[in-house]
Amino acid sequence: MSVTRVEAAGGAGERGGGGVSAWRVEAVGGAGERGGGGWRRLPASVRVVALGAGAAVAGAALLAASGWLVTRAAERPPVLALLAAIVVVRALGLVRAFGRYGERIAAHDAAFRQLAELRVRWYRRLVADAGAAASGGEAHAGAVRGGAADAAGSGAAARVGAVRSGAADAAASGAADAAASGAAGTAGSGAAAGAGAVRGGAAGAVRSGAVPGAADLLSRFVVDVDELQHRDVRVRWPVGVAAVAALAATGFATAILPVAGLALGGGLLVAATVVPAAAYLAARGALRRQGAARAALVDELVEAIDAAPQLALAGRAPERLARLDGASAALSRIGRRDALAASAAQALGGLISGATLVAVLAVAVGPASDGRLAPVWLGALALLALGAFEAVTALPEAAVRAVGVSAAQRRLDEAVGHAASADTPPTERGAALRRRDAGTSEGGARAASVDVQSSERGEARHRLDEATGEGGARAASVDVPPSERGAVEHRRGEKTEGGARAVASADVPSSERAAAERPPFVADRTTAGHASGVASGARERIADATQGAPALAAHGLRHRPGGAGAPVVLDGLDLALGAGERVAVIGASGAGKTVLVELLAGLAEPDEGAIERGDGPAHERVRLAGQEAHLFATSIANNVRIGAPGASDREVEAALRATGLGAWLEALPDGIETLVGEEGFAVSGGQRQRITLARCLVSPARVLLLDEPTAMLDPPAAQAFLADLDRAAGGRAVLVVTHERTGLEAFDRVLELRDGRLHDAGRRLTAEHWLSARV
Amino acid sequence: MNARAVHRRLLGLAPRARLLLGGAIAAGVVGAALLVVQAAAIARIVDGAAFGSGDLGALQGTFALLAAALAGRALLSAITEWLGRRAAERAMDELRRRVAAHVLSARARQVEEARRGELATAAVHGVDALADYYAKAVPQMALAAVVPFGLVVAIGWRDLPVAILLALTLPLVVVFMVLVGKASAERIAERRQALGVLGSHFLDVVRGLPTLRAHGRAAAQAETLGAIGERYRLESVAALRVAFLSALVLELMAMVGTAIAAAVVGVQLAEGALGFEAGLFVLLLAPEVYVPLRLAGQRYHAAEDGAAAAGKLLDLVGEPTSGGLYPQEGHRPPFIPSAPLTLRDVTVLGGAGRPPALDGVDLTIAPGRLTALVGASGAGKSTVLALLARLREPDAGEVLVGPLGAGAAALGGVAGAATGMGGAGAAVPLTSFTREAWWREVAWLGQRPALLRGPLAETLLLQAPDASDEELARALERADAADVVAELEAGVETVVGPGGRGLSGGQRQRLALAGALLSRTPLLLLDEPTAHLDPDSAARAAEGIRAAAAGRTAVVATHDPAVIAVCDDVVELRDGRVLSIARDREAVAA
Repeated sequence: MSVTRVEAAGGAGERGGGGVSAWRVEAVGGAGERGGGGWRRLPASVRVVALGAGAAVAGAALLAASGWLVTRAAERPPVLALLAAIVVVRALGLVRAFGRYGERIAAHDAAFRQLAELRVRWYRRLVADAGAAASGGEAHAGAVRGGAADAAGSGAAARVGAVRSGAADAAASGAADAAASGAAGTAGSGAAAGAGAVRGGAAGAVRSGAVPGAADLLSRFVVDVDELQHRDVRVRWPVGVAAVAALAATGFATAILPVAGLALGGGLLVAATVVPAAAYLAARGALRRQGAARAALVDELVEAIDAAPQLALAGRAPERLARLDGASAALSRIGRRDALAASAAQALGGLISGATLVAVLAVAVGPASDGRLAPVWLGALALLALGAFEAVTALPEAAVRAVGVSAAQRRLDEAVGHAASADTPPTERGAALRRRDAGTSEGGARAASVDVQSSERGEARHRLDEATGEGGARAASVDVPPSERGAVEHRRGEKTEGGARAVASADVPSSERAAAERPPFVADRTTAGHASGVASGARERIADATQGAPALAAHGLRHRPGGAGAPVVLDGLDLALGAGERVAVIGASGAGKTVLVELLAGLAEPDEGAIERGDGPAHERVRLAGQEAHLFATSIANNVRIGAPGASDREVEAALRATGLGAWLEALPDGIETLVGEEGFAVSGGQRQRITLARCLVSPARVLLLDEPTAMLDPPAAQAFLADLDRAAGGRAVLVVTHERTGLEAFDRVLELRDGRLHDAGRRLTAEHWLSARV
Repeated sequence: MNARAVHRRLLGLAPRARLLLGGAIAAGVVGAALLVVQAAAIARIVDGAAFGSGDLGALQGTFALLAAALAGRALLSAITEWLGRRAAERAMDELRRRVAAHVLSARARQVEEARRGELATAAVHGVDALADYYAKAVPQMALAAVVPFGLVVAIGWRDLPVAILLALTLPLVVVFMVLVGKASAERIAERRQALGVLGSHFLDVVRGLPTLRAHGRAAAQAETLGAIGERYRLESVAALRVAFLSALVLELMAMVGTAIAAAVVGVQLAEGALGFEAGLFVLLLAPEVYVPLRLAGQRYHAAEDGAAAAGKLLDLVGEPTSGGLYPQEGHRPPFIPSAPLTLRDVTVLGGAGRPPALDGVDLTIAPGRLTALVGASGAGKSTVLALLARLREPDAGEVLVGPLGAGAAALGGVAGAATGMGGAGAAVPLTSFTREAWWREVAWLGQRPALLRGPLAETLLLQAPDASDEELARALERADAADVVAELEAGVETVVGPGGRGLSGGQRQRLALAGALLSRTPLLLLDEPTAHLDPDSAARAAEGIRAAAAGRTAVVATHDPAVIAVCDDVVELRDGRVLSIARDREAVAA
């Protein structure tokens, strides 16, 4: 149990920074629902259907009433006798107009609400699934691929993404010649859909360009989740409205003349079933037929974009253009057929409503002429038959929408669904519990200063801050003590020295970092460090801090990421990482480097073996900066706060400066509030890695794992980054996974991951070499 | 580009689509005329049954007329839909062709490259949004301008007072719609943008999930998602309350108009000023006067969505290039393998807010030699190669081929004297040749070489389709790619690329390099040819590049010491400027 102290300086968070950022959330207390009476407490579906049906019925009744009115008027009654009918007609007009307005507002309100809920729900499933995917494996991948392929263009979209994630792609392939391990790392650490698929690659095969890019499947995922919001608003509720309106019209017609009611009811029934069914079939057929053609065209187009300069220089562009035109024309041909089908469904609807009108009139004419039906009611009936179809005409559109919704649902279930419920890893279960915790404490905890006991509640507090107070009452300073037993003193020492711990410890040369278990040459170096006359106070401090257990240790790790049957990637691996130690892990592609750091970071559980990180949740001890660490579309500061939600501006800035970004930050228009990410300020590869590093630095973690941090950097930039990393990490232990064998002079140890175990890379480095490399 | 311009360009996209749209609108007008027939028939039937002689046989003809009118309307609505969809397909086909032509012109700016997936998806799936635009919105807009007035005239034929009443409300409706619409348009646009922000935030979070997980924040983010969604819901619904007012006003006006018409007709009937049949006819048509307006209002938003989707593509492809995409005119460059290439005061602008990629560069590439371009990322190495490959044109300055004057010869160093047979004539700018003609002289390897789908041989032979097996084997050897091919189950006939055999980054790189080294063009341009290669492999490839460059002008952008070591000249760039030029290096290790 650790103690978290949160000091919130009210209003201290006033910051500039323009642009729309969805990350800036203001207080959302009380759900903002307006008081309202019983009406508002009704389910949205009831409200929407009631309003919609009310409007539809009023519309039909309006027509019937005016039919009655003119017919009655033709009987030349006193004008006064018509007044009541005139008032009714006007009232119905108002009811209809306002009912329609109310329905639209209620439906949109419900749609927005559902969209938020759907996103949260599917996001949670994705989170849970990402954990499960670590052991998920091939079957999962197959499902994903199948799902992606069979829906319209989604297989293509996947490929699109493989291309689109230009940077990501390059990172993966560049990272490690045969980038299998790299790609698996990226995906495995969470990209739900792609995870299993790419992980298959890690199992030994080389990475296939055919595997849908994780990034694409994710955009597909987002589109599909958004599609689900239409299920109620555009499918179920219109059906409800149509049913109520049709029943009401039929009932009214039956009351006037039973046989006319029968005709109208029959016509409505056919129009409400046959026409939507025809539209549904036409749409489904179109989806199936066009899906393949669209996917083919997207493939062609993506390849053309991708290889455009190559093709152009080779003089093959005209030929390629002809091929693309052919693919486009093929799609157009299919589109023409589908247009015909859709139009036929439309004609069918018109024919059925027309036939119904004729039938109603035909059965009513006899009774009307021989007096069995009063003339006034004939007029009402005629206009009722005309107006009754209005609600039903919305059904074909609903049927078409249903095709899209069910396709989206199927893809989502195949991609995320099944793994989610089954084996949610313990860490996620813990997170879920904490989430609940956060939920309960959400009510009032916006006090100025809160002392929260236990890391769980601290978590909750952080989250709360993020969700409620980015703007104003966000915690100004959060001091989360480190997790290792015995390290508390160390931290406190730093604190008194100068506040920003990253900076405080930045000056300590690594020679001062005495680790518990070090190879002999390290001992030499420590001696050399002594000789060079570095302040001994710092040395002692670190020695204090690092006595006892290593910061991170792994014993006998055995793991097959592909699940049963897949090759064993880690086979009895041991590792002990001393506090403050710098270790590089090299290894061939597919050796399992990324798998290793994911296990160490607690993002997946090893099949066998144990990992010691100290008490508490893994992410409080160890932070992993993955290969494709994501820059969110928000400010630099908020990006860094992913590492520690409560970090103050000063802490954020200190962390960024520690990574060597100081000069850059000063040149930026809005400093740490500068927006980055997709639409924001362009950030170079080196800057991205440094922001990612700053994320880890603001966190309480004492062990930093970096997966291929220099893969996207050219050699000088990579060297500069490693030097900054060494400085910034200070007393934290650092493990860097890399495929580069050069430029590792600054590391205390270089290990090679081979045959599932770590071997000393055999670097024969003397103390002198090491010193000169350092200088 | 404003909305009006987008509409104009969309409608101008394909003449055939305009024709189809005209047909769709015509069908709609005929349908409206049939509506009048239908109303007249219903009125006669009801009149005959309620107040007539009771002779039902006399009504049979009217029933037939009614059935015909109804069937005709059903058919015409289908025709409108069909023609509209055809128009959408036609326009989309044209748009896709333009996108393809634009893409293949190899002029795509870098910004676009980053979004090529979206581009491809928009080009293919954008048809859905455009279908609504053509099939629903545009015809309905046209009908809304014509049909109401036609119906008012039809009503006036039987009952002038009601017609006048309706004619008075129509402009009122339009005025109100425009007023309320204007007031709400801004808020709708705002909401639309907010929804966009919300959507991209969700995608952003989902994409960043691995990062969030690594920091233990994955689960916490769900709350943020929910909170943001809730906030946007509240704001959006408040905005929509105003936005939907325009529809409400229209609906109210229509209803009030219909109700007043019913009342006026009723009073006229009661006073005996109007026959029942005429009264019913008027009453049946009165609400139809407003229907086209209401539909147009509803579908206006579909039109906006379609226009927005297509507008993006239109922005991208720009105006169609006149004179075709690949002009065949223009002369073959008198390209001389031994002529120097000169950048004269060349500036290439960076993207928005970025410094220029090249900033007033003067540089001569000596002919017949292997030149290395070195420097940090972003120094401008790739830009120089793109200029030489004419994948870009300079924003200022020019790129020349051929010997310059005496001063330039000095710039070119010793090698400049070796222009030999090519010396005829002065230096000419590359722009005096068509790009296609220039490209016949150039082999180029980009930073992210793509493997074409299909047999590997297709990619390998792209730049030298008639190469012999021996030449191919030698090129593979030089690129250190022989073992890659040897490992493939079907050698160079193995199907690769998306959907085929997967290859690692290093393997792809070596194969692509082999393709470039296989070419026999006088100019060889290689961008980071040894990226993703391990040092041993890179060293072998460097020797291969050296060998393949013999007798041609070759320029290599590289960080790799092994490649620099085999180059004759080394040009160092920094921040878009030439920092230093080292000529005539013997192979010196970096």
